[in-house]
Amino acid sequence: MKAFLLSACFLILQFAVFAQRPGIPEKPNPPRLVNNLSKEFPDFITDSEEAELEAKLEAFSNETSNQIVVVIVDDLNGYEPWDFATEIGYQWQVGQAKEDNGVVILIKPTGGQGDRKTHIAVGRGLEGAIPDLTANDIVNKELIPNFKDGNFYKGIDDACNVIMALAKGEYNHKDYSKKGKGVTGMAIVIAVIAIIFLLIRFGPKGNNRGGRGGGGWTYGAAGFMSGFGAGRSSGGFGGGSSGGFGGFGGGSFGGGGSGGSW
Amino acid sequence: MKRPKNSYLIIGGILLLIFFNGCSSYNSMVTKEEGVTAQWQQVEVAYQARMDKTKNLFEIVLANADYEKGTLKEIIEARSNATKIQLNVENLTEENLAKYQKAQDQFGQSLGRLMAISENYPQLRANEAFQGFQAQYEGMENRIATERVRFNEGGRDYNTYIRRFPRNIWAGLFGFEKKAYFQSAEGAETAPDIKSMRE
Repeated sequence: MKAFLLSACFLILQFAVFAQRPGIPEKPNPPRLVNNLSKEFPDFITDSEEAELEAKLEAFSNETSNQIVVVIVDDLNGYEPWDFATEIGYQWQVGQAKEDNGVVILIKPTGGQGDRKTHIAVGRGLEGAIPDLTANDIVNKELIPNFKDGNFYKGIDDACNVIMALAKGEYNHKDYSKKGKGVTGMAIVIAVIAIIFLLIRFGPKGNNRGGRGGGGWTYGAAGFMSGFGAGRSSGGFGGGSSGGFGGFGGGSFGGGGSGGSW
Repeated sequence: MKRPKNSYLIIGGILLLIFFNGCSSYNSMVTKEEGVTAQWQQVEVAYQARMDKTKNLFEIVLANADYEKGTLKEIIEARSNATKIQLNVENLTEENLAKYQKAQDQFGQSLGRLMAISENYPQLRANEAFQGFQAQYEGMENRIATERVRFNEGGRDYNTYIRRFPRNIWAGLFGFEKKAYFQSAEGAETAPDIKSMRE
């Protein structure tokens, strides 16, 4: 018994306190992906918008393991925006430990013109899919124009859509940068469905002599479609009933990303 | 008969405890030291990225700006100086790290000056390659700053661990030594703010 107590004491003594930089908001408990911590702008996004975005990002996290976190704060506590956003990602461990596939969208809506800051911090594992330049594009094409117009939710939602599409590889950052205004993931999905529809509709019929070839088209398209459907339904399953996601996974951030002000 | 048997047990128990404490301390120290090593590599990667990305910068600058030769010479020297000083993870003493940091900081600062001065050269600013570099510059410096902070955090964690009683005894016995930190020099922690330099 004595020995047990002694070893227990030793064990407790051995716990080293993990050094953390002060002034960074604490990891939400229970874990949440959308965190409006602003007291000045509690309705920067409304509760229903917040719930909608939370559900969408949770489903995305369950489906792909990529985690996008949105944090809205009043004060950066003396940090540069990039430092603050990176540190949140690092301390909350956004993304998975092996993939480091987290993204933090930081928004500080307080202050005058030019003092209102936003920054997208990209986890180490996503720096290839979302290079700094692309993060900068997302800030300047999705976030800031919408924020300037007062469309706060739309800005965040559009930015999330682009990040989700880039993280999933639906299109790559070069394609995105070429576009004048960001094309959301949904638009591409719709385009793909439309093409498949057209293929099924007109593909085999106009091709009577090459009957076999036509059949191949249909099968190919149908297979693609069913695969697509399966992917979606499994995502829905993960995000479904309980409403919670597994929590943050241990992702790391190395300072990637970009920001801006409005 | 009873007494000696009991005291043997107690002594044996204490020895066993000490042994286990030594084992677990040793293992934790190895883990933490590995963490510091890994983080040092991240620091080197970030610095090396800056080296690599500035490789072609001077030619771009020379070709597109009737540049003050002195400034350019200074930064080329600072770069080659920083390239020379490599620091192996086994020799992370305060002295070595200070030398390494000084060389890198000098290079970083002259690079910052160059970026600020480049604002005066429209032809240079219009150059596509230079624009590409400019866009990466901020992220490059951010990464270096981030890795340095992490390295200091890891080092502090490790140092605190090995210096606490009774682990300091084990650390001395097994030869675990204190790791050095990056010192925060004026304006070296974060990327120089080009905008404020301009104003």
